[in-house]
Amino acid sequence: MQMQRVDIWIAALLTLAMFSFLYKENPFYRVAEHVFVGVAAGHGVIVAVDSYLRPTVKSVVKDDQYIYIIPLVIGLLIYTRYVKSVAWLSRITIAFLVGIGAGIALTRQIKPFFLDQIAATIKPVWVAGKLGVSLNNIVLITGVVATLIYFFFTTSQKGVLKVTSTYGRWIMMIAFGAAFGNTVMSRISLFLGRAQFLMKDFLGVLH
Amino acid sequence: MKRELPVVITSVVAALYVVASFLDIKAFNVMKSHLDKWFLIISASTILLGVINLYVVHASAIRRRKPGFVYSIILLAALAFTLILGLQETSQGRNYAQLYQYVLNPLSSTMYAILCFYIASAAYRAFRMRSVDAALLLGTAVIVMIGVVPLGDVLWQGFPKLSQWLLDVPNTAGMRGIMIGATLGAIATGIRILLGLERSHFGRAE
Repeated sequence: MQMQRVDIWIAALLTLAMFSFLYKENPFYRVAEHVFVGVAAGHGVIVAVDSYLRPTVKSVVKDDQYIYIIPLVIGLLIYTRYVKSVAWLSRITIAFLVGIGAGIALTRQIKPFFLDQIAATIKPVWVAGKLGVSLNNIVLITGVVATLIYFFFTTSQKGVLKVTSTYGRWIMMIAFGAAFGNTVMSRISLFLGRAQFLMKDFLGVLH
Repeated sequence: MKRELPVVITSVVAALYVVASFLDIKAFNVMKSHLDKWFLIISASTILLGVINLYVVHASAIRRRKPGFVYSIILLAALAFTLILGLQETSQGRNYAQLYQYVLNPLSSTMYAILCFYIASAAYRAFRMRSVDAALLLGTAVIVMIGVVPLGDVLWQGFPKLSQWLLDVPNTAGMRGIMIGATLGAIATGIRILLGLERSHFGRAE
């Protein structure tokens, strides 16, 4: 119980130190900021080690899956960039990552991000007795086409093409506005979470 | 050799992955499954690169007694503490879980929470209604924000419905168009990499 109280004090002091930046930059904020960067960087390493490297080494040692030595060695080649004479070997790591990434882009991404999106856009522009649904479908179809036309640079955008691309830009502005609104709301919910922690767990004025 | 070998490896790996995806042959299926796992293992193996760079920058600041070097000491101490604790008892350990719950989680939540004030003030300066585009962006953002809080329903009962319509119809249309365009770009880049035409990721020639 006593230990948990200490933990809450640490969390509360770090939270307040972070919030102090709203007044102006100060030493408390900078301490919290640097602790955050250090712990977050360390956490990234630990997650990678626990999720991938430890199980890989385990499968090599215990299950005789020697084939996983190859990706480990390829991965470690990236650190040759610190030795000038063999620095070019680090490109082999990048080559594998980019090669597999290109393979994924050319195969797995096509269906969910391209074909399925086109299929979902092919909707009836007239649904009998449902004017609202028809109008929504028209806005959706024209919006997708106009957005794509905005990025069509093969010919200069004049006349109908210019009007359509302007409509596409407006549709994108609405999408960016929605994304912005959602981002602000998610940040506000985080802020409320921290305020609730301070009021409830730390100060005990909320029950 | 130093430049050509990585280009050849990239093309061969990309080609093998694509061919394996189109052939339902056991040997190719096994190879594709291995490549998927290799991608994760190789990515994980490179994670220390960022930490090494962080160490180099801050160790140099400490050595040279640059202004604010005390903060570099704090950063490296926090990094070392997290690494030692995590390697000793894994991320599932009791003490590590406490470090996550009472240090990392509050700090990251608060860091993102204070950003809401800055993006709001930046938005005020950037999106003042000087054009139709800015008005649409600002108007949508305000309606979406008001629509998801109880206040919106109190002000006008149509706000939640309007907010949902904006998210479901024009927002979907815009995001879908961008997604299709971005995927076309990714496919084009993938083909360029496969053919060995795209080499910018290897950096400058020596």
